[in-house]
Amino acid sequence: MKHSLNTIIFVWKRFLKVLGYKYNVIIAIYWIFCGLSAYFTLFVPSKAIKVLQQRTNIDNQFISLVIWSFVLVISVTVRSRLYNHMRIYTFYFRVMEGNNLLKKIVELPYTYVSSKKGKEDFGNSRAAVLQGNEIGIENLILMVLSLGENIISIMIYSILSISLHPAIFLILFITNGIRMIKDIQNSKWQKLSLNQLEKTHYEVFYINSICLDNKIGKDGRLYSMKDWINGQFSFLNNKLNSYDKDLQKKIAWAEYIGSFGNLIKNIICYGYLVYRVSNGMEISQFVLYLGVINGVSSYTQRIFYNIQEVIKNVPICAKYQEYLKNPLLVDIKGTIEIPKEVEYIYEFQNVSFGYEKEKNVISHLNLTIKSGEKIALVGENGAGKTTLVNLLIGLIQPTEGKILLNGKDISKMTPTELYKITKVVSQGVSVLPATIKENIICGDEIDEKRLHQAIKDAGLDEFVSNLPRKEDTMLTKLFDKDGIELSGGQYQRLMLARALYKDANVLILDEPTAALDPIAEASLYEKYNLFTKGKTSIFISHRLSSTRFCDRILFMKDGEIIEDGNHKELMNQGGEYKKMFDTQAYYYKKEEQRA
Amino acid sequence: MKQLKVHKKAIQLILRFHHLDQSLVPLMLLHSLIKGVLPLLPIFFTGSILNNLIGGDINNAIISIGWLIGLEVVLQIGESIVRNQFIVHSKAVGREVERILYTYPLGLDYESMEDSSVMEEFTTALMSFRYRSNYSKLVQDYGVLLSNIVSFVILIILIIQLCLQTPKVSSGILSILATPVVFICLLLGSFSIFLVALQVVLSYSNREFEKNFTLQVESEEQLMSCLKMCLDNDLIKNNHIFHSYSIIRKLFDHTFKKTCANYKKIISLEMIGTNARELGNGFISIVAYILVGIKVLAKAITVGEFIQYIQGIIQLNIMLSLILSKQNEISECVVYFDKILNFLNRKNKFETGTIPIEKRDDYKYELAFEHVSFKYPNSNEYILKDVTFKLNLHNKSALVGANGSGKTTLIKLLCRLYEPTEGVITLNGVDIKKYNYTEYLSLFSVVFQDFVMLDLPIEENIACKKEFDKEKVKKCLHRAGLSNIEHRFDEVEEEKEGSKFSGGQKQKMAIARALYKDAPIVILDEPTAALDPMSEFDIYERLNDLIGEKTCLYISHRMSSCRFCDDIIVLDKGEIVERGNHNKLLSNNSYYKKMWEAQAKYYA
Repeated sequence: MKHSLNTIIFVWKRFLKVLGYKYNVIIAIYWIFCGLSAYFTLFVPSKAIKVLQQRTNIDNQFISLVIWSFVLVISVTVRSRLYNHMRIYTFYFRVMEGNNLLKKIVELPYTYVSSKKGKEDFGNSRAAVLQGNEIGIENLILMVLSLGENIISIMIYSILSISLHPAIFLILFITNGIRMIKDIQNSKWQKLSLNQLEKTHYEVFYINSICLDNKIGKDGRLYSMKDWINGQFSFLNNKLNSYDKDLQKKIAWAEYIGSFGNLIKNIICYGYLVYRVSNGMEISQFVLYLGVINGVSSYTQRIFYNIQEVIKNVPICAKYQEYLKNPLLVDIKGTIEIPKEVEYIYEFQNVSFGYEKEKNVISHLNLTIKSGEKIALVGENGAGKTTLVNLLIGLIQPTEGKILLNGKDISKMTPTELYKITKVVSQGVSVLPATIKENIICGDEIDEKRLHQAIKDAGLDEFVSNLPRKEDTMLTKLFDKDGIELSGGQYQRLMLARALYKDANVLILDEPTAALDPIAEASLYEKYNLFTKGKTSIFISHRLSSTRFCDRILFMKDGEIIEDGNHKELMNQGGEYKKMFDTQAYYYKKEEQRA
Repeated sequence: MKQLKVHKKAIQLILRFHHLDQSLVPLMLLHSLIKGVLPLLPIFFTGSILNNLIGGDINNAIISIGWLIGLEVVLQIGESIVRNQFIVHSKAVGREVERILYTYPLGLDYESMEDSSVMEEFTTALMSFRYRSNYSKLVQDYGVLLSNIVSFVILIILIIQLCLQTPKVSSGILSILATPVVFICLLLGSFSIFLVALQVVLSYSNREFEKNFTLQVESEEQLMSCLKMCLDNDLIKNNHIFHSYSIIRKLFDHTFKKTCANYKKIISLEMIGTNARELGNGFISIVAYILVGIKVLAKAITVGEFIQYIQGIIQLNIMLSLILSKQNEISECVVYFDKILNFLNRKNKFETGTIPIEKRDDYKYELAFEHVSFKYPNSNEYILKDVTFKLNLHNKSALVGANGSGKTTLIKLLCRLYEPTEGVITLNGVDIKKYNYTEYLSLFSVVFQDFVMLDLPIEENIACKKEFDKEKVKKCLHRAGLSNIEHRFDEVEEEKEGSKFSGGQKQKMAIARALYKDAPIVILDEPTAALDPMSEFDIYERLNDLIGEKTCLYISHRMSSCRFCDDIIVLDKGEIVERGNHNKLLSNNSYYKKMWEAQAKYYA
């Protein structure tokens, strides 16, 4: 309960921050008018009847009528106006918060963001700010507002019903309460089904996005996937339809019980009122109390609904609150300084790592990498090559053992400083919707000469100089209709240019030639020495041809380095490396050379 | 009248999908009827109840109350039953309609699907449809509209009754104002002022809203793109390493600023509309009090009937507003619906051809290109130039060349994903355009370079169906080298594809899929690109078994794969420059030799 209050206050405080502190006053005024409007809605019709029954001056009666109608209308209109205003600005607030969330996630540490927990946390936070009006911070604020309105109104109604007779108040309370019991039961059932329902919704969302994604174009036609996808739709739709059926049935029963309770209430209350009138109660009073007994049930229902929604939304907003507390990468400060020497020596001491508990991807690895070594990291898929490299860069931390740089533990260094010493060309392409120049320079300082050299070395100079806006050309059409798309090979060269531009001592290439044709691939190998001059470099590849220009080859299997040496040494050793090399070379050798 | 057109259009749309569920429309009508009458019950009975009480006639008052309470509970339960059924049915039909719409692109010709402007148009139309109108909302909204019309008509009768009551006071302004004629004028006059003012305000805000709509859709799309970026782990990784935070921050800030500015505009327009309505409602309430009060003071009606008629006028106003706004909503709904349905009327460009493909067991399907040239629809550059060749039957043919030489394009033409700009492609001598499209496609088992696996059970991905032959799937996986996954099927239900599998494993699944289809012509586009040397070799060894007597076309950068191909076709800048087997091509100083040596020298 305390936590819930804490979350509600947190959301409200952020709202005030974004939109201004005057909203405290606006809400107070809103609630006051809620009370006034609830009261006058009951009082004015009753007063009008009283006025009309008087035997006084007709003009006075008329004026009285007009005044009271104005009173009623003003209080109702002001209340509505304020509510609409709030509805609109809470929406605006939610969208603004979305920006905060997105900016936050791209600057959180990689370990957290890529972990299962990190993804879940983000999913929840996202629900709080980017999933529409029905859920999250917007809905929370509106529900609290409505709750206030409905509680104030019901208090007024209760006071009036007690003044009629305390028993009437009880009757109203009980007959409305019966329905609430069923409603609570229903909401419990809905909560239980929520998980499964969300999963199904997600699957629908997924299959919807597949239909609109043209990546499915070729396979879709060649394998006539239309039937398959239609089948999946039907499967999911059936699930949703049967959920609807169950839900509506339960709602229906709640409504039957409500009607029954209503019937009892009407019989008792109408009966009592008629009795009172026959004993001298005025008609205007009758009208007033009639309004009270008819109006209570809608308010109790609304309160129930508000509370339900608040209960639903608080946990999600709480997750969002938690998420914002995560420290940004740039705010994480280490205790050890980055070594100032030019030569870097890395040492892995008994390092183990696993993404999940009890499933190590790297086990008890020991390795020393001297400055300037050109290393080829080879092995089967899943052997742990990319993980090893991620550990070296410092993106993830070992679960056991430590990694030393010039004798100092890298996990104690400031991450942003640590990342400055390595640069990576990965297999995947991460192009930013920005200019070519920005994509290459990224966060570094701008050096035109270095930029042009990088473009040239990556083999993109001819292409770039032919563009009308050269390196200021926007990439991707995402945010600029005039942006251009590059081919697979060109994107890979762009990634290479980005790495070449960065001034770092350790260069890592992770399958950088996957999309290049033989000639382009060979040209890259030839320039390799140029790129890696004076730097420590690690080349990860399936293609063992790459090992010919590396001084040292590390062969990984099942998270361990099982062979370590140069090409000649490993071939003589006659182990796994030789086996793999011979396998690949098989078809390249002439018939006679094949063993 | 424009309003009537909206109704006609809405009814047309509702009936168009009526065949999906015949009970929907009757449910809607029944519900509208009950819902129209139910809220008016108190209005009808209050008058007589109060009159009886004022007059001291308790017994009659109790009878009236009895009727009111009784009818209320019966109609309430009736409304509840019908409504709940109605909601279930309308949602089910709505989902069916969405299925039909979403799967539309899958049947479209490839060229149109690749055309980003076509897909963009379709996606925009579909998104708008889904979020702003959709079928179940249309039906439910129209039902509400009908119920409001029912209420409205009943209330009009009531109000006419009010107007016709003559004053029993002889003189004074009041008696004049309370006469039927004057009274009707006053009443109509107030309503007219209200309606005209409201219409002016609403049409202004609607116009402005329309202007901003495309901007809003665009900014929502960009928001989604920003979100997608945040979910891309590789991007975040690169972000850290290359410290590109400021670029991303700038991007997000810019996008959100634009989006919020737009929302603010739209918001203020909405506010104008709502505020105008609230004021109008207030105005009518005051008018109601005044006018009905006049009738009472002029003794045209009794004090007991006062409340009844006040509520009647106020309800009438509410119904009127609801009808107008619902009509507005529905007309918007109809526009989106229309837009998306227009797409359904489009035909697949390539579904020409009627000749069926004859089923042959000897795999004698000979494909040939005759002077084929091709350029993409929106480009002037010819990707293929005067290509002529015959694909040798029962042979493995390799297709090699540099990036951009036209290899993948050639495959797309072969698979009839595009049509040649010039020249003809033939199958057993007949132009492929003449064959039935679906049957033609069934001739090919293709593994594309960018194949797609869906986040659904592996078996379904292999069979590309929801119902499949379990044994056959198992066998195909085994032949592709994925027998260890089989255990996962038996141990764990519903093992989904997703990202749990390595690139190599996914590649083998794509090969298994091609095996399952078991088509006479096999096309493989870089099938071992993601495989480690052992798996790559494994596949090479299996290829004979996988392909057997079928005709196979093999694209690869791995020159080693040319060794087991009987025929090698070399493409350079859209033309076939060399052809022959490996040894023959190596003997001259060829382009092929150049590419071969470039790779082989590392393995010497």
